[in-house]
Amino acid sequence: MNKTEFYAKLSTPANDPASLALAAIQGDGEAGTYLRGVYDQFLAFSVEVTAFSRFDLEGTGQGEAYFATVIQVVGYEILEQLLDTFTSIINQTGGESTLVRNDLLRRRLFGNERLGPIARNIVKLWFTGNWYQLPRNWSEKFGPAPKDVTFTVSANAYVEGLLWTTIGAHPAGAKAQGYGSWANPPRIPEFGSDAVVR
Amino acid sequence: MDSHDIATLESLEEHLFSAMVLEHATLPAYLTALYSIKPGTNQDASNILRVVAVEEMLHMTIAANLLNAIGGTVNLTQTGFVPSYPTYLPDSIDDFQIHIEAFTPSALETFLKIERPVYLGTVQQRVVKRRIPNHVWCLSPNKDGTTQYTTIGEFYNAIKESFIRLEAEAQAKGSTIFTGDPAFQITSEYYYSGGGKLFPVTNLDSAVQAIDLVIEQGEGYVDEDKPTGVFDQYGEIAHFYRFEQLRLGRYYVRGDKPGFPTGPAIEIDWDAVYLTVVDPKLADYPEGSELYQAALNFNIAYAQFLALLTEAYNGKRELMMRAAVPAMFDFRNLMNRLIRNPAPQQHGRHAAATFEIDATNAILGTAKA
Repeated sequence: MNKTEFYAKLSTPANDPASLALAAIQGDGEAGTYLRGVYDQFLAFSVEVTAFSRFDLEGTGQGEAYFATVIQVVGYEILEQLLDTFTSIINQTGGESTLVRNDLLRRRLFGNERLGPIARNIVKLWFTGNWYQLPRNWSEKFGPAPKDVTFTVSANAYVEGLLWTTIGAHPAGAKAQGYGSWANPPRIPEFGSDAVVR
Repeated sequence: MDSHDIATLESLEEHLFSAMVLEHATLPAYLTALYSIKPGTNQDASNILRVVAVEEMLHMTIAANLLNAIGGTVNLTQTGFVPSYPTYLPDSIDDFQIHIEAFTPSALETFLKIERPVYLGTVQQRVVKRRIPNHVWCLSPNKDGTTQYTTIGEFYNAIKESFIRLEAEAQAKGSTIFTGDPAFQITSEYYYSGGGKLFPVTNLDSAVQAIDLVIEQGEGYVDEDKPTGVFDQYGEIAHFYRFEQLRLGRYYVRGDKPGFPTGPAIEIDWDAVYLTVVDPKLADYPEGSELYQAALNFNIAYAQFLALLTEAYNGKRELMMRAAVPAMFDFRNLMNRLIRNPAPQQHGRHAAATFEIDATNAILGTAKA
């Protein structure tokens, strides 16, 4: 399926966005290669703005769902513009320090009127599993997006929110830590892909 | 007694250690299948796999209690405690191998074979001695690897008969085989399990009771004397029949005959599963990648966990609750993260924990002879 078909299917309420995205990025031929490329860019951007590794992000199992969510709510074109801007900043700052890169990301991406709110929403998606309704002035300027309301992507997206890992806690009602574990002090993991049990 | 070779206390200790190896060896397979199921899907299959895995952990602890009761040594850091997958079980030579793999129809068939019931036959049919090819990994209770049991239930029955006979022999001489330190017995205060029922093994009665519990929870009986082998006397359903419900697509209810469940239907969505590399090894993941590091970290954490369990089984019972139980929940999260990551150059297959514990111990220098 090419990106037009993918987008059309995403707009049909009966379809599951995450499965569609998975099928799209696993697709054959030119369309599949192209969509895989966009998804790779999406993950690379997500690594940059969440400070979690790609392994951690894929480890949530939510990548395809968030990718589909962004496209579903604001459309393909704007996501591609965001990712192209990101890639050009990365290419441009290849040998430079993080400070230089962060500065460019702040000014050209997060400071961009059209792309900034979307970039921030992608960060929020990973941390909370929620899409937050875009600011009103964004909608007024760039046109209303019919699906742009605050919603939780899925029950599992809530469970997999990175905020729980960040604070060394577990989501209430899920991922229980074991009978009696409350007697132990909380364990804040090292940042990044630390997976060693202590 | 002619059905076995467990004639000495030393041989009984070897068999009990094999029992621990055996109970544990099923866990990587059951847990990988469980966590390969995509969240929110296949609830029935998830529940069944989870219950069975939890009970296998209980069985391993019961085997530790039995071994400690007769003064044996429990050491899970011993080389070979975690087999290299694929692996055979004591009852499965030339029959089937256990794999670390996703929840698939063929994995389910393997699980059914692991838990198959004790079919009562002649002694000659039940216990078979075979020469095992050298290249095959096999969990055998004998050092020379020649004794095989037809089912796990038979294996435990041989252990039970040995307990009865060796204790009778000891009693005749005015002594007992139950010479172990009672303070090493893991009881319910030290271990929380859905399966429950952990009691100290201090004499023949409690030993027999413990072995019967393992057999009943595991394989059930198909026996003319017990009209229904599906549920035990407490209304609990044996592992074999739990899995058979998935194969037959229907739950058993009390009164059902084996093979003919009449309860609510079960649906399985075989597509809602992350297909993982079968019997993955660290070498399957790109060296230096995050995936490789995470898989290695898992093995290190698991090796440390087995060392911790060894301490818990050797007098530090409080470690069970304080450290071992929470660690099991960490493994769930770590395994999930691995399974959700596609493994590069593995034909679209996802990663999974490799459980290469001997190799990890060798690296860590913690291997014990």
